[in-house]
Amino acid sequence: MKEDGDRSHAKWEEWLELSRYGELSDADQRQLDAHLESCDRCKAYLARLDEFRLVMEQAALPGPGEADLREARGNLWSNVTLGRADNRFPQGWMDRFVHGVQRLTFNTFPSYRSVLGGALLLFAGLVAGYYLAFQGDRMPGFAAPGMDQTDLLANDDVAISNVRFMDSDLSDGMLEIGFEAVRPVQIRGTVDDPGIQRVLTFTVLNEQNPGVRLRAVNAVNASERLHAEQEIKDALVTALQTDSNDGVRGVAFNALSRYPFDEEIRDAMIHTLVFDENPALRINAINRLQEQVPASYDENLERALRASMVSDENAYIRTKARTVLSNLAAP
Amino acid sequence: MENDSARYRADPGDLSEPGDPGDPGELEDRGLIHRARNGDVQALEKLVYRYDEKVLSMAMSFVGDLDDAKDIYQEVFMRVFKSLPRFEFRSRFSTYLYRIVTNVCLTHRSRTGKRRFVPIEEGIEEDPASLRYGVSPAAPDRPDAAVINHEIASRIRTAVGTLSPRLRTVFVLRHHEGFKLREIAGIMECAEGTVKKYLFDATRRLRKQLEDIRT
Repeated sequence: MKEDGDRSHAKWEEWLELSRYGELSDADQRQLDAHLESCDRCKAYLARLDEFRLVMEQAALPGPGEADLREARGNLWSNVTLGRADNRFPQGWMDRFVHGVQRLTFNTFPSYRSVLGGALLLFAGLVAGYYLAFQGDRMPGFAAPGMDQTDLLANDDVAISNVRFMDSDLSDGMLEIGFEAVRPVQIRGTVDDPGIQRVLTFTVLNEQNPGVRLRAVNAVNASERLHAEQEIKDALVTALQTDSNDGVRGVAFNALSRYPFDEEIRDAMIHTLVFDENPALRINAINRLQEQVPASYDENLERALRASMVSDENAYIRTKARTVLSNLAAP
Repeated sequence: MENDSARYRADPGDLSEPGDPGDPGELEDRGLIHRARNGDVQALEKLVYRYDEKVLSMAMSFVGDLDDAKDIYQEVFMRVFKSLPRFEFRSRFSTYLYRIVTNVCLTHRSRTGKRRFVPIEEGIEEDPASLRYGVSPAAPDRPDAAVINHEIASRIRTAVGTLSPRLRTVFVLRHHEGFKLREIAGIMECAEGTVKKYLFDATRRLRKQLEDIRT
């Protein structure tokens, strides 16, 4: 009998794992949910699964960053152009732009490969620089003739700096932002334009001047439309959790409050409740979290509320945390 | 033994999971590949940049060392450049690319002989019970939390490293990289049911090895 039970539970355990990976069909999920209501063994198994997943997620090492990716890309193109992949590409296609360069330099002077390769790149850089610098004022930035400003922004290698808001009045729905890539660039468009969004995201995350960061989050927050771009949402979450300026964090909080309350936002609010130094923001966070209880209540939130109830220096937050917890404990 | 057998065929023209020419992403890949074959450097660059972040991330998940991951990134794209002219669109380009990544990651480890996964004994300091503190959210007022989490992460990597290449591949692709089981089956050229079995085996083994860690 026990063996039969084990066999049948093997199926449920398999389904529980699939369910947690989001790989179970709707019909199977309904069956599983119904089974779970009456099976303590499966409930315990699910709890163990969840705990395992939490351990894996919380101890995850950080992934490669933007700078790492940029370095890898740089090395890749160096490898291609400087011939480290010599004779590794089939004849015909890469030859056209790789071996042509190699033949011109390396094969003629094989003992001076590196020097000549570097010299060739330097020469190409100088020519390109001269060309870009003396294009006159026809083209802001280093956009090539016929290249739109947004093409410039589509290039991941463009270094944006010195961001300025020329027109941040959103009454006409348009923003005008100046920034420098190689030379000063100005773009104009709505908050929904990808180019504008990219500069805003960059500004929120990287701009040194808190006033400029504040104007950027204000622009995002003031837009009537909600931004579907995950990048912007991520930037707001990062600003809420890490920006040193209270005002920036406050506006980021308000902007995030307009999004549908999901796990990412809930975690950001918990972070604010536990770690933010500004009591007003912590109060906003606990109020927002309270609105979502019990739907989004879990162990993390409970832990945060218990910590706030005991150790928050603000009496309102301590009381509020106690109230939320006792309401949940009430039958 | 399983090391070699766990390598997945990544030759252009393989027959698994035919690419859907109606898929917009697939269509764009095809266009870029055709243009790259005709010497269009920008198309090649665009093709690389569509996927290279994922490639680096996968490599990092597999080997757990950033320098190794960057080496793998180079190796993967060199292989892709070399074989792109012979690619016959019988599978999605992304599937083909991720299969190369998986193969390079598996062979990278065996070729260099480096064990990037810290042995269990090293992961546990003098007092193994210290790790039973559990995983803590990194907090500015708890500098010890980061250290504990780092040690736990080392143990997890060790445990993942003890899995066979097949189980490790499935676990890393599903758990760290979020691939669907169907996609993993395409990459590994096996049935989805087989991938499920590998995934259950992997998670069970890992849970057993890591059962003393608590949140």
